[in-house]
Amino acid sequence: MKARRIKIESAADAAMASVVARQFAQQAGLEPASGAACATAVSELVTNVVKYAQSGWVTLRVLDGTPAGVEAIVEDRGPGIANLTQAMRDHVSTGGSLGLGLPGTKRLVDSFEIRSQEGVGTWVRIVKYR
Amino acid sequence: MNGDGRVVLQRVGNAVLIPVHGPITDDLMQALRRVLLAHLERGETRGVVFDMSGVEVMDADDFARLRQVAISATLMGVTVLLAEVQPGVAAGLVLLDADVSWARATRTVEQAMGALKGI
Repeated sequence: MKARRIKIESAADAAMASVVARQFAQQAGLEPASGAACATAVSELVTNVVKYAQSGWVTLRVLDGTPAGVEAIVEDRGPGIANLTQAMRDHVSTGGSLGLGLPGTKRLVDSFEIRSQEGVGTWVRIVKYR
Repeated sequence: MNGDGRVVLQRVGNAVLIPVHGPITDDLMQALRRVLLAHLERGETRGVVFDMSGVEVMDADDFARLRQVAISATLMGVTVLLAEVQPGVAAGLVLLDADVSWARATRTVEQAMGALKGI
């Protein structure tokens, strides 16, 4: 199982995470469009980390099982999300110009889990299968 | 635009072709907007074509940054076209519910140049 953990502190780190996600998607045998969806979802999540939490981590993993896929776990110790239900609704901004983009990110992947606690941080796990 | 942060504008007749590659950062798009609008101010350009063939991943923030540049150019009286958007990018932007209402697109750069000739 191939994995990589990347510290997220800047837009450049977010871009790097997106590139690695795409590479892992290719290694997992995802179609190019699915790989792009996976990388876009990772980009959305890590961009949120930079915007709202300043720093965090993303752990990317190639899943060798059946079906194969790519897993990304994005975590930060930022302010957390006060109202997760509201944040998961479309067209809701929590202060940034575009909102968190969580509903769109969820639509891009096959599995989406999120845990967040105000003042503690946010943890998101996504999986895109082949 | 190159991955190393340089802005590249290619003049093709009365149009400007902008190859888009690599991460679409704030700094890069601000530089592009500055260079492009200064070029458009000369009044010789009728259209701007963003060649998107080099973009394999584009998130909502990236697209919003591109939108700002495109709308700025539109306000200066030129037609802006996106050419060769990759399938994964197109599908992703729709799933992200990004605002694509401003975007006029063609399948190829050649089609974009052809469309601008008719303006």
